Amino acid sequence: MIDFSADHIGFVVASYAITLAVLGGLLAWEFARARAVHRRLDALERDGLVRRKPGEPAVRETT
Amino acid sequence: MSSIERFANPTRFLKLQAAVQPWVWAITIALFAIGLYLGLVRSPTDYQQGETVRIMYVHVPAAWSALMVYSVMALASIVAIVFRHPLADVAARAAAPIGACFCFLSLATGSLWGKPMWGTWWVWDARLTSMFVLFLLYLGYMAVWQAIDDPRRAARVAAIVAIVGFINVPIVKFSVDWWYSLHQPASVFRMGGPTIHKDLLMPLLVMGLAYTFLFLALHLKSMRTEIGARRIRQAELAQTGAIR
Repeated sequence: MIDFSADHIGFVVASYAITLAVLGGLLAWEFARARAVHRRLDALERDGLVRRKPGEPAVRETT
Repeated sequence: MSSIERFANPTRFLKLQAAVQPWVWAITIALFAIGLYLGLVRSPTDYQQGETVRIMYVHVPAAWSALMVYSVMALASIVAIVFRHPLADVAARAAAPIGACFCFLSLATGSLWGKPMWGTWWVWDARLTSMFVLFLLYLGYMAVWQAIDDPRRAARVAAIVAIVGFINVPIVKFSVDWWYSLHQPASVFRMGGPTIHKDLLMPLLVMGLAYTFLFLALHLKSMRTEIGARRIRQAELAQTGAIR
């Protein structure tokens, strides 16, 4: 079990914190970009400028 | 029909992606949960490094992933140029920001590990410098896509950057053998097997797998977004009369 009173523990905590921040930021950016593209595609579809091919899933279908 | 041709069709890819994506997310979360439990709770400290050895579980997989993602980009770029596979440059472009983040994490956590172990945040030795060059290659690749308006030309130039830059991947890997370096030599993927104790190796391998699945999950999602973005661009160009 990690010992939070050990020497240099600040470096360990900082490493995990920066990893969490960068990967969390990457996930948030990826989901935000996907949402923006999906909304724009929906708008274009409503205007008849984009047509999904038969059987093609919508861009939003994934988590 | 070969497997490459089978998935060359973006529609078929989107169907496959929608089916596998939830499973890939689930496996990623499970692997991170197991890896972090093994790394932070079960694994012992190192007799020399103490608790700082736990930095290895986020640093090493980030470095492995940065190299793996660049290799994927280079391979996809070759496929894009040679076979003109319609998804290849989508795959390469979608991988770049993910690889850049892994590379940045490798540099940042390496620096945080270096300070208590080596007494310095950074040295311009072969391993660290070649890893920094890899980060610059990622940034350069992404900059090409941003700088060139014509997507076909951008794809070609970016593919050449990715392929030429691939020469740096073996340099990163073997830099610790070819030149004197403060960085330790390979201790997992080496001739003669790993030199690291199994109690430390197991969490490291699980975290390596977790990063790999995270890449897969993000890459699939990002490719879907990129296909959508291209469809938007085509529709907008058609709207303005650029495509007839």
